[in-house]
Amino acid sequence: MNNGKPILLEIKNLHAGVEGKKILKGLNLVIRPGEVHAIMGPNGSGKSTLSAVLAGKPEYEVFEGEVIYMGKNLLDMAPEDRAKEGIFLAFQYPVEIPGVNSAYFLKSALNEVRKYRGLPELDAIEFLNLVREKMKSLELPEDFLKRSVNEGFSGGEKKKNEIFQMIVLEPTLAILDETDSGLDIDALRIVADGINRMRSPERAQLVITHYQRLLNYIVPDFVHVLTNGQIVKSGGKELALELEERGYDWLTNGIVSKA
Amino acid sequence: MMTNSATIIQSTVKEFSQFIDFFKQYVEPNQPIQPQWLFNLRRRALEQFIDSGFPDQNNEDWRFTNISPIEKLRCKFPVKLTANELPSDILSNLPFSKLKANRLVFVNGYFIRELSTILEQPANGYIGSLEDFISKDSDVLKNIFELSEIELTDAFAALNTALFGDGALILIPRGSKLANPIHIANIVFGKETVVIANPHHIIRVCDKAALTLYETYSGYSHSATTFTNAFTTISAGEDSIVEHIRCQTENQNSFNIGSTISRIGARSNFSSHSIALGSKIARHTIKAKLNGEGIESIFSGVYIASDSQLNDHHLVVEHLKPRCASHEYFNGILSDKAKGVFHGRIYVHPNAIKTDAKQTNKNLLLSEDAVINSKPQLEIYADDVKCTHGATVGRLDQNAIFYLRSRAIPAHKARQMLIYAFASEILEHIKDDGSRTEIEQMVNNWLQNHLANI
Repeated sequence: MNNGKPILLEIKNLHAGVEGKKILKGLNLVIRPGEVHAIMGPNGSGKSTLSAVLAGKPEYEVFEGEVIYMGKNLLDMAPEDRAKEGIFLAFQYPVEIPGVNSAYFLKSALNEVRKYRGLPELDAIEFLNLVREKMKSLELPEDFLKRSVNEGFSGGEKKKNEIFQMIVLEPTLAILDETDSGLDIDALRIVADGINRMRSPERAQLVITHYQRLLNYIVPDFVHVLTNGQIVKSGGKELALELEERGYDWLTNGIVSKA
Repeated sequence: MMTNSATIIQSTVKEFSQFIDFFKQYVEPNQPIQPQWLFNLRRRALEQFIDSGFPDQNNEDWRFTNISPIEKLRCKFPVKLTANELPSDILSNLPFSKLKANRLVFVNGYFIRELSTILEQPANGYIGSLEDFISKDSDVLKNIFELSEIELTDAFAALNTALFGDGALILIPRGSKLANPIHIANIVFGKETVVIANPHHIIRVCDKAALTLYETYSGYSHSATTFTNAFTTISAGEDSIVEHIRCQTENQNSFNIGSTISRIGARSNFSSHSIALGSKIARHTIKAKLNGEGIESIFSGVYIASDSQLNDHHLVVEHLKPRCASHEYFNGILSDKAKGVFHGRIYVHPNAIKTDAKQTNKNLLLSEDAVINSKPQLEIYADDVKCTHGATVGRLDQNAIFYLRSRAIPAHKARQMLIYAFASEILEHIKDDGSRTEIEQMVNNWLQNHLANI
């Protein structure tokens, strides 16, 4: 897995969970710039726990192990600081925030990131100029920015909004948690195009998904299988097709018999 | 009754003696220059107050609001000051002072002409001081007082009526619309002694007339203990359009009790917004009678309290005629050991068919010790009506905070955004842009000052 670049994210022996329950049980993963990694696994394998821990969701607990992001201890950082450092989580269930205007929200987020990067803050007009084109590419409705964040959005609009935010904030490491769920085929293509546009030698993506479907559009460099809180198998993109064909059972059973 | 009154006033009921003294010292000597009917009304009000006394918590309307700190105040009756006797920056804390308006400034309940700006004076109407008008046309005023709904059974209204020094009188004639809003600016100015201010405002908007009214209660000192006991009556004629924006920002040692009593005519459009950020104990009683068919009305409010502030909104809307709408939206934000009280009563009289009344009261508690007592009350005596109410109490949505933080927005700013959103959903009901923008700024300032370090 070495493309000759320094490591962007290294997860070492991560044990984590929520409400005292251990869900991740010794997870290891290395991501370098320019790579797209897919994590696949059955329900309850720990996929969402991994994304929550990486983004810093407060109720999640780390029992053991460490996560190094660009040479820094990620687990010591507040969620907002992780975002400023370039980590972005596209939520599986984006949160509705009544009364908070989408334009105001995203402009605030972008300016926090810009401030941190030493860039000048954008005023309302500069912001609109920047986002208008990006909105169009995701086929978001005109009045979108005037609405409250995610409030009353359809499932597809919510997912598009996540990708829209990602394109605006330009993260170094994007974590996409079940972004394909609830999308029809047209929306899936639009979302996948948005994700692919973000691919660059400096950025990396961690695509978490239950189904192989999304990977027809976003071709990963590496595929990892997560079951029972551990990565039990890693391979190239062809592993996803094998999983599609054979399901997860053959891998899960393997773990059981090994134990 | 009349003979009785003299004896009551002469008797010295200890806890009320200061108010009786005020009456004797400041109201009675004015008798030669005030008409007999007004003096009689005021004496009756004093008797009524002495009879009933301050309400205690056995009184259902005051069950959650303990006013004993007000009862214990030893007050000083204010004298009328001239502009020269006031600090030059007396208007420095005045909300809406930068908005263009017909501004009537009252300091401790007295009209201060030099600080007031009356941009327009409608023909056949009046914008000015109540006291000035008494000498002009006592008969018209008598008629106005007879129509105004002063409930002397309300101890604070009675006390105000007995002791008021002055107030605004606003008469907007039939079909008139002013170019600018009217701003009744009440400033309480106290130093070492506890000053009591009793402004009494009367607003009449005649048929087919329109008015945007700002009514503010603010202080000058950041620490002086003061007691404002205000009373305002609004009569809105048929086919009138009235928007009333009341904003209370007195300091946290002050006490502010006030009533807004409205009578609303057929087919009018009436909206009332109550913004309360100030005072140690504040109570705003809002009573409205929808007294004609086809009225569209909105009553909204935001109360924000911290430390050990107590904020009480007491709302009674009566539907007397068919086909009226009253929509009530009150949101409260309470932190530290603050307490909020909301009472919302909708009374639908037997012939008020096709009433459309809805009420929501939402509360956001920002600390473990903050308290809210919310009491919705529907009384419906008519068929074929649509009445709903809902009260909620909640805390900030942790998932929403995490979502915002995951987008690089710092935790304290995320909280501020969510709290602001909670207030702004109410402020959206204010149609007047100038005052709404300033109130939004006030809410933001409050959040900056109170939540910056969380």
